[in-house]
Amino acid sequence: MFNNSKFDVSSKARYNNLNNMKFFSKRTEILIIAVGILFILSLNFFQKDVKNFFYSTSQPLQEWLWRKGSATSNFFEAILESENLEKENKNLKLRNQELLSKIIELEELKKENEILRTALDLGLKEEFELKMAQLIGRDISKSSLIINKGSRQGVVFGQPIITQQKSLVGKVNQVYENVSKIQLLTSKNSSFDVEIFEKGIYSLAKGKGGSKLLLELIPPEKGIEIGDKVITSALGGNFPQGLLVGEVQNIKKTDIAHFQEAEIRPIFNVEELDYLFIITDFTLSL
Amino acid sequence: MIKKIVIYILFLYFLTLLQTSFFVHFLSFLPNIVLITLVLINLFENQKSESGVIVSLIGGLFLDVFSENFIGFYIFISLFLSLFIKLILRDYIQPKFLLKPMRKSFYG
Repeated sequence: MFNNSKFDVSSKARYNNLNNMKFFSKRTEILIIAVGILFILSLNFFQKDVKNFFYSTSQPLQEWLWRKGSATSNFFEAILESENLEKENKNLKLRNQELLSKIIELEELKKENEILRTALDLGLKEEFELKMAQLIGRDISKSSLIINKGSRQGVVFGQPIITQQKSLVGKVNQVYENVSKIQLLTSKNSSFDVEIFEKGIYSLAKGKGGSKLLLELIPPEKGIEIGDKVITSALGGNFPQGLLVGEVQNIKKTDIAHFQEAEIRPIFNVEELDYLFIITDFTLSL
Repeated sequence: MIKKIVIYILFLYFLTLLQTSFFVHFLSFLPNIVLITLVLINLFENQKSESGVIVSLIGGLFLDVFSENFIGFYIFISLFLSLFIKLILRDYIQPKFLLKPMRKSFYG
């Protein structure tokens, strides 16, 4: 390849020169790279200090960026999830309604429980066989009520209905499969025997409609007073003895009449009735 | 050149902080934007310039500092990427028709 010509000598020299230069620069390059690698790896000995320096320097900016990132992300999430929020809102509303109905149910149970407790305190359970019923309706004329127990639950015509305070409300007038109608004491069709408590005066009570009863056939010599308690009598066979009917509110007494009359105000208030008791072990003696 | 490198370094530092503190709120899988930026810098800079290599070194250092890896992990990756891109572009691919206008738009 190389001969003795002048041109060839100069070419050989240039080639050798270039070769030497290339070798030198390659060695330097390798050296630089090796030193660089060693330097970088040696940083690991001070890794904690190096990282600590960067972290402490960057901390304020990082905190700011984190806050901004979180806020921005929340903003976009709110936009993106607006549809989901609507669905969630609907679900929550449904759930709320469910819970409300459960609360109402529990309130009803609580009320029922309280009523039963009162009844137990009065010893009603020991005295009578009772069936509890809920009031579900009232006649427009207000002379009859509808309860949620009927023939399927063993309700029979004529069974007396009382409150938890042992106060007479009326009697079963019509029986259906699952509901029954109660004729109130105050109904115009209602009449039964009563006794004025602790005075031994017997009389006939008649419904006047509305919320009043009238006591008839009271001998004029019998001294009755306003506020006297009136209870049921076993004489007519309509109701068991000793149920509270009401108290005397007004007395009508004239010299001409053979009997005196008295108005009775029932103890119960139809507006406040919710639960009633049916006396199931009483049969009407017709 | 030094001015350019300083600007790159500041930009990469800010990008690293963005990657570690800001973008984490948005994506569960976040690509390494610092590494992508380093690749882009090396891809579009003049192949005779060495600023891309220096910037890759510093960018790798930032990534190492803000990651759980030992110092050098990302430095070597970014350095390797930088040199690889330069080698490939210089010796094998010279898409000047594509790179020239891109470089112009990138560097002005």
